[in-house]
Amino acid sequence: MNRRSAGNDRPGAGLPLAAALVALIAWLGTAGSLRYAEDRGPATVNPLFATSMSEARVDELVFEGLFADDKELRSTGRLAESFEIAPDKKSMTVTLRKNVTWHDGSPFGAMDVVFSIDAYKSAVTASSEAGRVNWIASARAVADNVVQINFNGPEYAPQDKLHFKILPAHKFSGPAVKRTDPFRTQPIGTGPFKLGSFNDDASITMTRYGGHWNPAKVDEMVMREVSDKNYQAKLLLFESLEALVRVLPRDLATLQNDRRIELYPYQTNSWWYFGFNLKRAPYKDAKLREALSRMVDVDALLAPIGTGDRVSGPFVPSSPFYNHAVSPVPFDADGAADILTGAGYTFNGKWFRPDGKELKLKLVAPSNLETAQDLVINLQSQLQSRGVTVEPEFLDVAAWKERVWRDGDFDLMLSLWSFDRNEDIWEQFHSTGTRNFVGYKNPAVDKLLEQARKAGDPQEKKALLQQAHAKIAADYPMVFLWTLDSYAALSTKVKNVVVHPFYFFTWSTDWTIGE
Amino acid sequence: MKRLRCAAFAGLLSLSACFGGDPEPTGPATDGATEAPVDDADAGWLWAVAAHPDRFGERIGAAKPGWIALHGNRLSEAVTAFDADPVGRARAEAALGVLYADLSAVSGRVSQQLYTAWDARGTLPPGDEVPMVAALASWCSRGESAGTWAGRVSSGPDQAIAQALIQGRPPFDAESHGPFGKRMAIHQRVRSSGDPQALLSVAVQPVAVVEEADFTRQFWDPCVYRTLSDLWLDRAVRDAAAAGTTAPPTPGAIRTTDGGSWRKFDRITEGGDLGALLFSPWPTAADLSAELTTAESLGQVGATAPSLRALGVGTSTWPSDDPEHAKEEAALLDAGLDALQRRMSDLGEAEGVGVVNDLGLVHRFRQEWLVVRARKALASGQPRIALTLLELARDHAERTLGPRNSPSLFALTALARLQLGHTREALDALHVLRAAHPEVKGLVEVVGELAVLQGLDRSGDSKEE
Repeated sequence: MNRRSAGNDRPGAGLPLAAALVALIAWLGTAGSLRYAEDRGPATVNPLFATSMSEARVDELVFEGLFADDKELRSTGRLAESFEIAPDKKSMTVTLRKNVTWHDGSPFGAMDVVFSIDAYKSAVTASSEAGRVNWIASARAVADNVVQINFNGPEYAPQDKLHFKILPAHKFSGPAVKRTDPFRTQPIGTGPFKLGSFNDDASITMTRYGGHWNPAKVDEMVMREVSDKNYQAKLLLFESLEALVRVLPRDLATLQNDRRIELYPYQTNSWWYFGFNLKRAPYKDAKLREALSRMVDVDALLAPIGTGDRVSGPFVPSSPFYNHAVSPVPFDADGAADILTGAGYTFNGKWFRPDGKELKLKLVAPSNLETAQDLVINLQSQLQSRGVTVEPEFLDVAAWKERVWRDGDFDLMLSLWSFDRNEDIWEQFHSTGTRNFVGYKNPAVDKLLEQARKAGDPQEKKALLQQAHAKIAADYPMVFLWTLDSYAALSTKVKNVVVHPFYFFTWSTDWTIGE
Repeated sequence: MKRLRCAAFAGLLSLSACFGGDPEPTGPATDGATEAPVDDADAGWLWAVAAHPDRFGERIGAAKPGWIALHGNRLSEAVTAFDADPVGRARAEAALGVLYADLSAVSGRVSQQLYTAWDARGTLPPGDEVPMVAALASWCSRGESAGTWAGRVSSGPDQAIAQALIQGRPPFDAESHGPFGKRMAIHQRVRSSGDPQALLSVAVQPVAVVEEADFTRQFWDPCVYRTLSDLWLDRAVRDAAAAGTTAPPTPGAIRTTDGGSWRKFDRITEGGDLGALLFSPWPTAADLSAELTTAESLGQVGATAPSLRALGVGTSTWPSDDPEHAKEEAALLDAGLDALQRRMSDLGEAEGVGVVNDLGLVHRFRQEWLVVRARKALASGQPRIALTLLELARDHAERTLGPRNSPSLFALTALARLQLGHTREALDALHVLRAAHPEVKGLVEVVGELAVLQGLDRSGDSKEE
């Protein structure tokens, strides 16, 4: 058994005096507030229930995993100091970083890791992140700072999967955690920033945690919820913000011509869609879904938002899994009418179902996305002119989680998925997926996803997921829309910036703010 | 439509409309910048266009379609259009040669990473295809593992190629009748004739396929970019030697692959032809000549151009791979270009300044120079600096190749990201390239396989926006 360093070669680790000196030097070099805009703020600051990118970004500042990506995207230790993998690759022992404390000053230890794994796995908790630990059979504390993790099968590089955030056991009564647990508004982590305050102007202030093993050089991070994209860009140009995490394509020219601003490609594996509720009649019928998909002029919907690539399935065109043999559904109103007629629908100025009821769609969309409102209104207009009534409803973040994630009460919903570089669509399209709220179920796709997950051959995995793309597209579970050119924008006052392609703030402890 | 209208226009400003591209964006100028020189011999091609629009018009007018294509970064089209203009042709051929050299570097890098890491997992598929592709990839990117991989090829129909690689000989003329032998024979024909078409036609097809139980395994020719680079650089040097004539193309067998013949490219400057400079990263003929004696490759020519040193750029190597160094150097360049723009506005001819602005020539020069500087950074093992320079060079508002974004910009972005371990993000850059250069299909597939391999042990994450 080879003992491996977890990549923590930072000077001072494990040496309290030296660590204190490092922290002091870091503090002396600390300055400034970094204000960034989100379209919508987090509904919860609890990694067990993180479902949105804004939540993931806040979690990245407040919490840590055992491992995280280094700047070359290799797993490196965060809360882990070293690890050993058993010869049979069915378990590993992780030695934890010493002298780590939670934001309330409590010591971090092995019991926190065991608790976190149990909480993610708990059926009662029903974590939206449960899929990230389902390969773990069990975990136990071997010593105060040593954890043994047992796997369901051999794992070649388990550290690559131990990136999920660790939670403080002492803040919970047990691993069965409720979504409404007060922790979601009073979180404590071990990360470089601690949650300071929820402010009246829909902002959240996170202050630098001086007790962190690698203290940040920025005093505070302030997340501002600004739903108006035009206003976001103006705030950056007028130096009322230091960062926009997501810039609309139409604003790129303006921002890149201002030398006080730098653009960073970010979160490029994202695609937009209208999702049907496949659990609900009449949308269980693939023919109806195909007809409705053909009624949508996607290019006309995209035009006001900016430029982007159409997608024909659940990957972006630059993905190795994208099946270029599958074309996006064409705009074909006549073809749609033929399909509906063939399926027993009748047209009398409006389309009526075979049971005589009018074909109406209850469409839900996030309320504070300006682009979403434009998009939904345009879709409503398009379908209205083709005899289909759309009743839109715009929901705030909390209502969205309840209506879409918990209750599944919609006919059609608008959203966009962002994927990390692994582009794992299991949770969205496997029948057991935790994010499969449209209710998609195809045994052939389940089998392909299962084969792909087990594949140890990159060519095989690529081919299997390309096959899955084709099968999913043929089922029309969604109107697959587009992927947009995706950038973050930061003020040049922020130095030493390297943006993680998905979590954004992973390396933010290196960032500084100058003039 | 725009291109059709061009033929009807004779005036210079209408010529600029023919090129397409957007007017120069007007960023805030930096005060206190270093003043640019204005003596014609030293001032560079940007100044020449602004001060002598008549010279520019005359030079362009003789081979307008070629220059329009070169300005639009449609390089193959430019080669064809410059049928009686060896200087213009040499410029387009040199750009293609450098582009394919960049792609060859990407191919070598990704193949080495993919097959080494895959081998370490112990899951390489059986058969000769992987060792053969890995060996060819190494040889064609001037790597060091060709013999090792070739030694793993069993006695099959392409054994002669493996033997050539083990002995350090080129694989192209080996007598071999397997799928790799047939492909190498195409390389040999192309290398003998100087005509790339046969290779471009087959580059979009895998060199070998293996049917597995639930999928088809495909293997791609990693030598496509090496042969194309050798070919175009050789043709560029041939045409540079014909400067001052109207000689048609005379492609022939590639005369050398040692990488040194490109230094003869400076013959393009004989006769003081403005065409040797337009849209290039070297401001003056003296810069080109000086750099050709010192640069490590044609793709780095201009990176340390003497005429730019007064601006404080290109003067030295960077002490560490810190993106802030790149930003500081780009800021110095911008300050110099701001000063030059002011000087052009004050002292240039109105028509000439109009052409500079309408064709986005300041952006063009800036991008060309930042790209060669990034190439130098990559050669120096400084991918963070390179990536920063490339991001600063790119017009992010333009989604495709064209006047404001060159193909090399994206090829180098892919290489920088690969060197930084950001394999999936390298695919984003290659995706842009693929639309205009279908021959990169095989490279996209292999980079995709590396991205997948690197994620095999990961738990994916996804969130709603």
